[in-house]
Amino acid sequence: MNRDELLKKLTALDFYLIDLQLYLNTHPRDAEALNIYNSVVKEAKAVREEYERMFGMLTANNTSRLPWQWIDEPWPWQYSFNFDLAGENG
Amino acid sequence: MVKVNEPGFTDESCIPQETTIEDVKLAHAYVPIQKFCRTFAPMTALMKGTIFPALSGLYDIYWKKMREMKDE
Repeated sequence: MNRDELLKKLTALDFYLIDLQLYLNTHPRDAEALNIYNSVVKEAKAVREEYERMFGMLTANNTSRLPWQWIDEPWPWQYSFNFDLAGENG
Repeated sequence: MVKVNEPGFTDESCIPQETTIEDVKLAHAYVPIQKFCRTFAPMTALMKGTIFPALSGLYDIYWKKMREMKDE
């Protein structure tokens, strides 16, 4: 998987978790939703670790190999960092 | 894993909200409680802005109506 594909996958998983968090806030005893949430957390964690291993840190509050990886361009807020979703159907 | 709502798939055995609201009072507003059925696959959800098919497209309708009112 290239950088864009991996980042896109991680973004989709993180978004999935945010929406499920909102659901769980009002349905804290929904075992099915919580099971899915916990499994997606693990999947997102694995994808995040794979991304950071291959392409560097996504956030600066993380471990880094030498030299310090955070200054490797592009930074997350730069245009070239981000994938393009326009015109896609998922 | 994630139960995915494939295109064209409908799970008629799962209705994503409560269908009866009991003990209603006059002049009170009620919102039906959502129930967990299927969700979109993560990438589809990212495009649609929600993981829940029942909540998808609501704002499309809202903005379409707003545009129509503006045009009148």
